[in-house]
Amino acid sequence: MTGSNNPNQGERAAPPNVARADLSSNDPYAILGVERDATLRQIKKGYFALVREFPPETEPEAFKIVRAAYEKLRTAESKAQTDLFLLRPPTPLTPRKRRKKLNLTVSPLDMICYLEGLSELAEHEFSGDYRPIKL
Amino acid sequence: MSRRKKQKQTKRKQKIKRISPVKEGLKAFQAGSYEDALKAWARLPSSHAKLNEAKAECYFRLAWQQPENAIDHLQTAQKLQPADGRFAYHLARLQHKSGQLTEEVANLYESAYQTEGEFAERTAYLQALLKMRMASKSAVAQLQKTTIWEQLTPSQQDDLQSVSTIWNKQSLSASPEDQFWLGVEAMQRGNKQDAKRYLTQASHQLKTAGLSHYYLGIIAAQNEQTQEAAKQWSAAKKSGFQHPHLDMNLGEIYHRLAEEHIEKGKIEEALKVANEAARYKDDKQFRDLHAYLKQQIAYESAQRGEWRQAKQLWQSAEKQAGGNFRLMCNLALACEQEEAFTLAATYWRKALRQRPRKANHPDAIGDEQVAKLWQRVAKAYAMVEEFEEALSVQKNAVKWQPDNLALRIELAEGYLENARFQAAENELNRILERDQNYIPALMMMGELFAESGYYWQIFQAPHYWEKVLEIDPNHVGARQNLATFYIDQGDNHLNGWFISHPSALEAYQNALKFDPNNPMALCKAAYIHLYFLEDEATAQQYYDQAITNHPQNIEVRMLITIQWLAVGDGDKAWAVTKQAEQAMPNLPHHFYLAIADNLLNNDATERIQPWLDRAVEKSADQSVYLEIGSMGMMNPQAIEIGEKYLHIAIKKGIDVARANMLLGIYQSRQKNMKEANRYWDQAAKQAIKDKDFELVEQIEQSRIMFSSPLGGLLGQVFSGNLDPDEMIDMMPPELLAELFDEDDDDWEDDDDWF
Repeated sequence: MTGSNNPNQGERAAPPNVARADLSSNDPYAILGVERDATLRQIKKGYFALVREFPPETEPEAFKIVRAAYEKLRTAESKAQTDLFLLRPPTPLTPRKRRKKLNLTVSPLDMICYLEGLSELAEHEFSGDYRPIKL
Repeated sequence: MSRRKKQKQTKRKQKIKRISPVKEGLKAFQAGSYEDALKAWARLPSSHAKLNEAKAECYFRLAWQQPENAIDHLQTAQKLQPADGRFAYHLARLQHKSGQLTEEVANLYESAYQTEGEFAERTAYLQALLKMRMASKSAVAQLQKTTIWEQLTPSQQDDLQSVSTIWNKQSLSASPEDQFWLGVEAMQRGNKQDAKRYLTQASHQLKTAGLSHYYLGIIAAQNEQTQEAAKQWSAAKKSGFQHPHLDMNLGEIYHRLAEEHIEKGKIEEALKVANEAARYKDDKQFRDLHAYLKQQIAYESAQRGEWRQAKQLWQSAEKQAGGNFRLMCNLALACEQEEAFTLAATYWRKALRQRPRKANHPDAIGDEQVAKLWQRVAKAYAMVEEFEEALSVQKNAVKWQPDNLALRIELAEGYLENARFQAAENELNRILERDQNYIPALMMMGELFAESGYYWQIFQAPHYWEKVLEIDPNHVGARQNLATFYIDQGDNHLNGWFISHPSALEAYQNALKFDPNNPMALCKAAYIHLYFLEDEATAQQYYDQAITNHPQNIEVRMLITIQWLAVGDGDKAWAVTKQAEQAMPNLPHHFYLAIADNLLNNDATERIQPWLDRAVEKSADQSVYLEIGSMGMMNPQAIEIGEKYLHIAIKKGIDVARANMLLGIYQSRQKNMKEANRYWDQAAKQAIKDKDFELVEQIEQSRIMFSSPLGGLLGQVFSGNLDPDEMIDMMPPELLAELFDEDDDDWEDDDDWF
């Protein structure tokens, strides 16, 4: 986000959406710095916060971007239309209700597994056991 | 086929027949094709000891080639050669490995053991391990009473003894240096602290690393140290340690680790461990988590414009956990970005199928959105020119929003563009039934009748546009359409069988009623006054109005110039041109060429030169000579002019090949074939030099066309047209076949002309 030339900037803290606004994005929500599930009222509020940051007189290009993004979200109809063809984050993952139990038992079987691992049971290559044939 | 070849083939066949099954089998055996070897030997009438030995060897080797059938093959080998300890040993070993801890396996080991020699030795330790599994903690005591125990190495005996001691909860007499067994013993007794200390040491030894890491993983997992447990079990796995619980535990621990990373927002880390988990786990909950991570990373990639990576991840997520509405929409968008429109259409259709149907679902979409999605599908099909599919999909959009007239207009437009005029008319009527004053439908209905209808339907067009003007008197499109319609009518009155300038004037004036400053209507009305009514003053008023309202319109200036020339007033024509040059200092040379062309077409060749000179003067490049040359060649009255300018072009080295080709055609039409061929030869030579092979082909076509017996006739038929491609397009296929018949011997050898 580019900085503003507004000499009064800094006198009061910028609204959160102004800090998040990404004017280089293709996503109007990102441009306005609001969440995807923002209400029309929140969108409007976010828009005006940005207009104060980028007034048309001093920041005409930035204003144009912000205005275009707002236009896409300003009514329920235009928002629904915009949402339809925007990239969508995946549906949040529902945490597992129950985790699968780890098998942490310790038994003599473990020792046999160990010994088996050292034996020919663990080997795969037996071409040395091939024999020639004579007919 | 020659006799010699046939004889050779027969000999080869006989040779193949002569090879015995024994040799054939041996050859296959040596090539590693054991099944083929067995097939060949199966053809032999009887079996003998050597053959059985060979067959058993084949089955033995097949067992390693086909692990899924290994046990069957080893059983066959063992049946064929029961005395060979190898087969009993390996059969027992494989069954033991696959968890078959039965008396049958023990007996197989025993029979291998009884063969003595190499396999008796190798069998002893596995036999001992099997007995440990089967007879549990008393196995070692029993083994010590048998000869098997004597066959074991001291190290094997020690290991078995240690297991037995721990198992029987006796005190291990291991030295403090024997960290591993001390660790195992501590672990079996539940002393985690000692176990951890000893096993950490033992985990650095290659031999004892596997079980040490496995136990250290268990200790970490018991302490809820997910990361550490994953690390230890992963090390156990890497060391080759096999345990029935290891894979399952690894899958679950990685799953948990991925969940922890997600909670901390470390999505990329989470995906990395989920990829590990996927090697051991495939339950639905895990697949959902894994697919979620891929989608999240894909979403972030797409936002950065990395669409290819995003698409691959989304496709992988779909494959893993199935699709959903969001995923399908994102995939469709990614495909659109990559201009893969057919695939995009497929994903949009999947999105439509998978859209949530419950109204309270956060992703639920209404009928309007469903229609919009269908519309998007239609657009995707249109992008790849699948127009019929696009139309059928657009109909779906209309079904979801029958009252959306803009949507219906798009459907009607689709019908119109696909030349389905009746369907377009029906759709437009359906729209007008819903709203009889819907301007886009009225406009399109007018266009439908004007552009696509039969002659008698054309006159219905103005009715619709006039209706639009009743609704919106300032509708620019309707006015322009009406003006164009009446201008066309006026032109029709001046061309054709029944020329009627009063009717033409009436039509042009009608046009001006709807579009008072229409430049064409003004100029054309002026022409009626100038030429037919000889009323120069009125004509000039129209001209002034046209120029005042369209000062930069080249077409207007050109038309006025031509019209003055048509009435034979060259001075006025020049005056108009000069005015045009003042208003538009960069008047293109085409302006002058168009006027010259008009003069040629009206047989006014004698007045053409000043316009040609001006065209040359104004032209930015020298290709103008060729342009004038072609123009002249196409007009029988201006052949000499054409010839002159083509020679200038050749002299100046401008498009020499084409200029020569045109001169060749001109000479052929003069029946001067020798001269024509000379020009074509030069044209072809130059075109080859220029590597303009399209032109080489054109020159060849010209030569064939104009040199053939039909050439003279063609020259007359296409008297004004010298472009061979255009002439070919206009010719009936039968005539083309006649001209370019490749099987015709007379023409076959004629292609060495260049």
